[in-house]
Amino acid sequence: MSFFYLNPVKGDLPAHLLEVILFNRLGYLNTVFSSEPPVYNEYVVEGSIYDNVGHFILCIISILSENPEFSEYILRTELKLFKRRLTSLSAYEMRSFSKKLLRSIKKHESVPAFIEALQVLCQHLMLKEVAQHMCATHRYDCVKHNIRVHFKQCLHLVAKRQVEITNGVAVIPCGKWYQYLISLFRQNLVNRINKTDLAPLKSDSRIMELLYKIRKQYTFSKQMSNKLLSKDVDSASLHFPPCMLNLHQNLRRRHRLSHTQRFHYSLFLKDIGMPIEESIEFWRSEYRLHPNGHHSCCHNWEKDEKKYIYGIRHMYGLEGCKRNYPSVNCQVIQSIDNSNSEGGCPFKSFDYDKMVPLLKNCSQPVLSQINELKSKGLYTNACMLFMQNGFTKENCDNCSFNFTPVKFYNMSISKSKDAKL
Amino acid sequence: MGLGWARQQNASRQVGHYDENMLPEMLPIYYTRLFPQNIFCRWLTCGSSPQPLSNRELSFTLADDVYLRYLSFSDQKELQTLLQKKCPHKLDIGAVYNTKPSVGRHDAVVLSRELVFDIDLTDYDEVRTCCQEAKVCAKCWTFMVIACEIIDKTLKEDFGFQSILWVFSGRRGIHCWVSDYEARTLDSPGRGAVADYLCLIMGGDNQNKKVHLGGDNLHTSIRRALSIIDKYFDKLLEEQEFFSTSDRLEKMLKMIPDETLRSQVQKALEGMPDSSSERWKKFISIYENYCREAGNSRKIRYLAEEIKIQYCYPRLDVNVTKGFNHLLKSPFSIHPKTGKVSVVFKPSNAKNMKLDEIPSIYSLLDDSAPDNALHETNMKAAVKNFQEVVFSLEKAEAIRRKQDGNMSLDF
Ligand SMILES: [Zn+2]
Ligand SMILES: [Zn+2]
Repeated sequence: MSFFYLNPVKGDLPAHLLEVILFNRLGYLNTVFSSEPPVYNEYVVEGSIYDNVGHFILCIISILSENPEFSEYILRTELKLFKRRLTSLSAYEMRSFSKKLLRSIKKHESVPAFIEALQVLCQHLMLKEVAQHMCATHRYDCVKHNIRVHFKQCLHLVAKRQVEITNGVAVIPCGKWYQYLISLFRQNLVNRINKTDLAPLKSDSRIMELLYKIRKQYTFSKQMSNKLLSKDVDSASLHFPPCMLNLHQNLRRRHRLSHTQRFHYSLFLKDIGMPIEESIEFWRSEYRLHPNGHHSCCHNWEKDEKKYIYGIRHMYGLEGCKRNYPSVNCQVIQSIDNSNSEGGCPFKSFDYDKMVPLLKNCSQPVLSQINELKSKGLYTNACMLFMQNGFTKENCDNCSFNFTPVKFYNMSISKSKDAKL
Repeated sequence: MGLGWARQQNASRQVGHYDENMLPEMLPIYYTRLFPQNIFCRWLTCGSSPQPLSNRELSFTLADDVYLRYLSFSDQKELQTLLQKKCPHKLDIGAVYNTKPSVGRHDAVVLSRELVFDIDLTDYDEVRTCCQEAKVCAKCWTFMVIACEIIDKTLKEDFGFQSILWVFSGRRGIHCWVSDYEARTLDSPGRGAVADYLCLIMGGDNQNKKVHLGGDNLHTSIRRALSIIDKYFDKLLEEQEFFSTSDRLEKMLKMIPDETLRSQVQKALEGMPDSSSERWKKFISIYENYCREAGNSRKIRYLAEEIKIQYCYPRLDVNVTKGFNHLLKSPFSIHPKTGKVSVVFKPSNAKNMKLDEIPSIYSLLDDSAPDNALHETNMKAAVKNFQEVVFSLEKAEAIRRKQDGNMSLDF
């Protein structure tokens, strides 16, 4: 069995053992998550039966939990574990890892295209000379060996122009192979979590009991926010993350926001507790005013009232496909600021002198720490550091992945309540 | 073909200044006589395969801004009826669904869609100096010429796409439709990756330096883009005068991350005549000198290239490309504000296009208009360009279906 987990092991295990395996794995993943040095754990020996069972049972629990945050956590930590294992392989181990994988791929009659790409990669990694080359000190810009795959099989590398592409075929040099293998592992895992139908398991009492225990232990707090009224937005904005504060200030100044930014800001307001009627009131009060400054928007509330109200109702899931849109996370905000717009993550996309005015009450030492994180590309960490400014540093592990402006707001509010007590 | 009455009915209007109120009368004639219905249907039929043409969404914007979505048609006859009945002022094309869009509506599943690109000159407002917002002129058209050439080459050489249609958007930009099967069926992450691959300018209004190429060797696609930009850079420098005023110069200086170099450049350029070409030459010589003398210049290894890209490289509306079912204005639709036809053009001919020679519905339907003959000729050429792309798409589709057939026979 390889720790790529292509196939689940077959056979029966007693329920209590399943539980032991599961909680051992979760505990182990927590240490991986906080980057503690690896400690031997008999239930998580790579390639073992327990390791395989633990991985698959955790996937099942993660699907059944229907909690995107928990799933995201599992995805991240499993990925980190895979990376850790992969990079510590010796040349011999690398070859046997590849051979095992090839054998399990061959068991399938037809495989998705990304598994075919994995096959190509393994056929290279199993060669003695190649494996030795990979496991000696190896630079990420090394181009001694290459594999060719369709560009659709390496989108992450394409998006960052890390591969040369000719006629739709991408050439992946060995310097990028680990990165590529990790992305294939991720894709396999995401497919499994998103596409497996586990409805029959919902009537399995053993599984449901495990699920119950997990839910009890890992409560990802959903903070109930107070109702936010249109007239209170200015005072609430004291607790806004810089990205949303920026949009708010822009809106108050120019009375307009560009389409995407309006969408993001409305969803944010919705998710921190603004009911629909207040939302309509809020946007009406701004869009009634004449736009200020150069703005290609020629709409106003009177002319486009129906359209605007429809748009807002849509976001609240009352129109169209009746889907309740969640507000966007930091990753999304950081990735889509490449058009000419007033928005984006201030830690990533703003010049220093544009960023600083958004960071109220930020001391000089904190600012320089923020700058350091900014230069390392750790924008979300910079934002979290800013939020913790002036407060005791609490353990923020539970929220450091999938951070969102809404989380920032909720934590900032609860902090100020604590401070008052 | 011309219709003298169009002019007589509105004799008071000025030459070259047309009246939107005329559109309801002119559009039915345009759709019947000039809109290339046959080729249009063939293009969309191929682009919808293996789904039937009727699963393709069409949307209309009517005279009073009423917006009709989820329309569809199954052949040219139905299209003609639809156009006559509704007389759309604007025609948009959407995705191919698993069912007739009017039946499925919100529940219909998007199966495919051309890979599309939208480049609009308003996104160049921070660099172009000749016009702002809705205005365009021959000078800023050069930005579109560069964008078209870079994107076209990338799509063909890197991604291997062949059925690429270039369309004037009707006012101030261009659209690109890729109909290859591989492109049509590309999923959202795939579209996102292609868009990101093409996107070099990052950051919004709050950032001065928006291009960061790093210190490693440049990617082939970037080197190719730079060689295209170089063909037009001197012309742009002269026409746009990027660095001629103190404001513009300041903008450019802010892109230099190294303080010592920045102050050297500032001192030298401020004391020079306004000419941007001269200032650029001076900048290059100071910069090259500086790199030679300073030991570690990795951080500014590609500074000159970064500045060129920030001023000239295509500025895509990536949301249009990434979205699977973003509606986009149809080729040969009429722009309701300008009356101009969204003509299909050859990328190799983009540099010869003149904005006032692009046919407009008013001069096409008015045989006494001064531009009538020229616009008619250009309209015919545009239809021919469209035909060429559609014919080669039909050939490619036939080959693909034959191969698909063979594969299922083998099984
Ligand atoms: Zn190597
Ligand atoms: Zn211009």
